[in-house]
Order: sequence, then C-alpha cells, then structure tokens
Amino acid sequence: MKKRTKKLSSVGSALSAESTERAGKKVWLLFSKRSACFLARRLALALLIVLGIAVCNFVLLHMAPGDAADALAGEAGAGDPAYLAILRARFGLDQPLPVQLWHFLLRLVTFDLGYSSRYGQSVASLILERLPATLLLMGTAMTLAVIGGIVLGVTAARFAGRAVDRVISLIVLLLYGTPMFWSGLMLILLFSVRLDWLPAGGMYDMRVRATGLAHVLDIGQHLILPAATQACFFLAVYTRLLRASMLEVLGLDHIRFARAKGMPERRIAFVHALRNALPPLITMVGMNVGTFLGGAVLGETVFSWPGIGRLMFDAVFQRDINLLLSILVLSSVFVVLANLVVDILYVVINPAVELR
Amino acid sequence: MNQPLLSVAGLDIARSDDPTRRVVRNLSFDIARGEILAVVGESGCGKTVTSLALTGLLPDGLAIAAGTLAFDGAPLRPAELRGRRIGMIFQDPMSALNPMFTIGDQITEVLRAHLGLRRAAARARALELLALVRLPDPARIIDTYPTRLSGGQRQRVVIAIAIACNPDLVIADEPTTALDPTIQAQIMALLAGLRETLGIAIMLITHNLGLVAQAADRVMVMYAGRKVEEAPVEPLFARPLHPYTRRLLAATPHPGHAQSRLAEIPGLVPSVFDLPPGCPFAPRCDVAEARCHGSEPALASVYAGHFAACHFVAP
Repeated sequence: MKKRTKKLSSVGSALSAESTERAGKKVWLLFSKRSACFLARRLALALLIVLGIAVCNFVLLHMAPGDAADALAGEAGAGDPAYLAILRARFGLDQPLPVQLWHFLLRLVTFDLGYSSRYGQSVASLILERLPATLLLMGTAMTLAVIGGIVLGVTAARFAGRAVDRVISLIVLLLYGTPMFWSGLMLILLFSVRLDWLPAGGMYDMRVRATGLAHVLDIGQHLILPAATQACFFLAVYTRLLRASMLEVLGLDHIRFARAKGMPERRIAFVHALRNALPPLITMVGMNVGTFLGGAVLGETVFSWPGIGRLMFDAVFQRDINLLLSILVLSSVFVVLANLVVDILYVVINPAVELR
Repeated sequence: MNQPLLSVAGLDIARSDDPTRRVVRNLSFDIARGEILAVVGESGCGKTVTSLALTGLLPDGLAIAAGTLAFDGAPLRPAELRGRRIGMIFQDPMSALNPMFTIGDQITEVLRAHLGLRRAAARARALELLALVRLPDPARIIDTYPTRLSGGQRQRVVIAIAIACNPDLVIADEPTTALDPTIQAQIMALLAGLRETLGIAIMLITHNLGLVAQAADRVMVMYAGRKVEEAPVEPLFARPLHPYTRRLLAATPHPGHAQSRLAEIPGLVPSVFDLPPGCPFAPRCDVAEARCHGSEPALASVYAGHFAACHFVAP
C-alpha cells in the first residue's frame, strides 16, 4: 500500500511520513465500491473522448491537400497516375472517406494501428520503439522541474521581498523568457563543444555498444542536457505558480496557529503550507504532462533524441497519415489519462475533495 | 514562590521603522501561577498585539521597542516556550486548524516535536487530550479532518493542542467570540476547569464582560495601548474607578432587563498614532474637565490591588 502511495504522490515527496500514511489510507479508499464506479465512469468517458478526438483528427488530416501516395510518388520522382492509383489501392486510400474512417476506427479499437507506408514497419512497433525514449526524457525533465519548482517556490515565498526571493525571481524570469531551442543550443555549445563534458545529441554512444551499468550511465550522460533544457521552462512556471500559491497560504490563520504551536519554520513551509498550496501546481503539471508531445518535438529535434516527438514531426512532412493519426490518438490518451490522475491526486492530498 | 509566572514591565510595542509610533505604551502586568487574568478593551486597544508580543509572533512591521519580559524568573524567550510552556488559542476555530491534516496529526506533531514522543505514545496522549477537552468519541475524531467538526468542537481541539505539553500559561485571544452563546459558556467552563485540574494560568483576552465576571480572577482594562484600570474581578465590577470601565460595564446587555436601547460609548477609539493631548479617553468621557485635556493621568494605586489612571481617582 505504501508503495502505491509513493507513486501517486510523487509531487508531494516533501510531505511528512504521517501525511503519507494518511494519504495511503485515502488511496485505499480509491478501491472502495463507490470509487470503482467513479473510475469506471471516468474511463468510459475517456474512451469516448479519445474516439471523438480521433475522428476530428482524421477529418482534419484528410482536409489537408496531399496524401501518402503523393509524398511517396513525389520522392520516387514518378508522378504517373497509374502508379499513384496502385499505391492508393494498396493503402486503401481510394475508398470513400467515411469507409476509410470506419476502417480506421475499427482498427483503433482492436489496437491494430496499421502499417506505416513510410517506414515499412507496423505503426505499433514503431511507436513502442520510440515511446520509452520520450517517456524517459519527459519523466526526467518533469521530475526535475517539479522538485526544483517546489524547492525554489517555497523558498521564495518564505523569504518574500528579501534578497533570496529577488534572486530566485530573477533566475526564474530568465528561464521563463528564454526559448527552449535557444537555451538547448547554448547548452550544447557550452557543455559539448567548448567544455566537451557531455554528448551533444543522441541517446547513446553509437561507437561502443555498452551493456549493463555502463549502458545506463551512457544514457544518463546523454539525458542530462535535453532533460535540463526541457526542465528549465517548466521549472520557471512551477516556481512562479507555487510562490504565489504559497504566499496566499502563508497568510492564513492556521499557519499562525502552527507557529503558536512552536513548529519549526521549515516544517511549517514544507508540510503545513505546501500541502495547501499544491492544487494549482498539480493542475499545471497535469496539463503539461498531457501535452508533452508538443514540447517533445522541439526538444527531441534539437538534441536528436530518438523519441516520439521527432517521429511525429517526420510523419507530418511525409504525409504518413496512419502513423500521424496513431501518434495523435496516443497523445489524446495521454491528455485524458493525465486529467484523471490529477483528479485522483486532488483526492489524495485534500480530504475535503471526494470522488463522485 | 510568590514570584509571578509572567512579568511584564514597561512594555512598548511600536513600528519597527519608527519606535516613537507606539501601539502599546508602558504596559506592566503580572500573571501568577494558576491565575486567570482577563484583558478587556475595545478593538484596537492593544490586547492582541500584547499577546502576540509575548509569543514572539508580532506581525512584520511591529516590534518590541522597550520593556522587560520575564517568564518563571528568567527572561522570556518566546521561540523556546511557544507550544511547550505557553499555549495559544485564537479567536476563530474555523480557520485555526489546517484543513489538510487530521485532528490526530495536528495534535501529535506538537507532542512529537516538543516532548519527543514516539508515534504510538503520541497517539495515546492525543486520545487522552481529546477526552480531557470533553470531545465525544475521541477514537473516531482523532482520524477525522477539521472540516467534519463544528466550531465548538474545533475550538476544543485547538484547546487540546494548546494544553498538549502541559503549559504553564495559555493565552486565549477571544476564544469564544466566533461561537454561539451556549457553546461560549461550555468553552469557558472547560477553560476554567482546566485551570482547576492542571493549574494552568490563563490570559483571557476578550471584550465580553460577562465572561470576565464568570471566569476571571483579575481584570486589566486597556484603552488606546495603555492600561487604564486593573483590579480583582469583584471590586472592579462593584466599584469601577475609571470612567471608561464604567461605560464598558454600562454597555453590557443584561438579559431579563427590558432595555429600549443598549448604552454605548459615544465617539470613536482614537488612532494610537494620533492620540489627543492629555487623557486619551477625555474626548469621549462624560466627566472630563480642563485638566483631563491638559495632562495624561498616571496609573495610581487607589485601593490595595486596584489601580486606575484617572485624574478623578488619583489619591
């Protein structure tokens, strides 16, 4: 039970042992009959939303001029209408649109994502191949941003108006205002080109096929720069958000009472106040995690990280509709799941919120 | 053993950027062990600020400008005493408890921080405390969140936290103002009972003179940052010396007596930063004469243990 709690409240890692245990009890409540109903309803709703988004995506993509046959034929340098017709027939592109949509949805519910005309590989295996890299990068970046945001935000709020707060606010403003692609390139210039401490791109060293621990370390080394780059922007957002939220909470009566109880200031800030100040942060993190694919495109391109973001980017230009649609559906699944997790987290940290 | 528990002498509380702008002026008082001292006066007279100064919780911008504070014979160190030997009860129980933590968490953290109790021992003691403040079914309440409790129940929890470490002094800042009258009486009876059983001294800040008459041993009346009268409770109610105290008593509603209109004190409380010359109460006083506007009367001992700051009663 404890383990599950830890996983769910990773944002609240600074919470005290007792509150973690309490949260554990709340998590346990999630498995009651009423919560089961709630989850079932939410999941059914999520399924509908994903299907709706899939239909929208399908229609939008088919409104754009050009299809995979055009792109393939164009690259082959053969605009022969007969060849195009063969290609279209092979990929089912000659069928009327509603039929294509019907086939697409049918495949979707059976998890048969189809075949990428471009990579000559099944879409599912392509995505599965690339997904771990993106999850690793995004997970690391988000964890860094959340932990950093909590520490900096709480510290800034504790010393609001003083030098520490000013310095943090200035740093955060710089991070917030710097475009990700630029800071990424500058980090590469500094740490890879000038200092030669870290690799400039990729996920592992192609020259040596490391195994075991060496492999992990290798990936870790490649991970530092892209993760830091992606984390910077979010860290800035979270710090500002949490500082504002903390300032509001620190003025409340129960914080004064906690002081009257003789609790140490650090505990008051990181336990008493933080837990009250977390909801806006959780909402924001949920939104960012849900839409991480958008950010992944940029970050993965700058650092040539072999993830979903670049796959999606290439799919757009190659009119690889099957692949693109599948990635978009995956993305909508992430958005919906992130929202569900956020709702559950609210319940875990706030006893006044109940699942309904 | 005649040494007072808390001794305040010549306390000035002023703006930290300008020590001449004082909100509390030359305040001296003692609290004996096990005594209930009531501090009364209108809003803004310095009651609450004084209590915050005693616990080192003055808001930013205010600081102690002068005075000596002693607790149990040693200089007062609020940070060390807070929560251990000095407990505090605030006015609004609805907002004093953290909504995110259970009642048990909020009590045990005090016990664990100050008394070093282990988790199980702290929980057992918390259950005892909940029973001590006469909350029904402590075993259930200990695991609930504050939102599930009524105002009176929450104030009992606040009291349980305030007395958790067996303090010598509890400062209760309008502990019943936010509650309805039946609950007020229950909470006051509880506080008085705790004084009997545990020997805790209580500094009761209030503007409810009914409570004062019922529970206090001694009364200190404050006006515009200054002590204007101090006496044991019976003499104060029997023969109030300061015109302000008389008007305060006259303004207390008496149930059962048909009153067309509640007596009030005319005028407004002067700003502590802009006091009139002479006696600060003179502009509102119905017996004031020329000398009252000329010089501020000093606090004088009129009878044994009965002090007042008024030109008319000065010996």
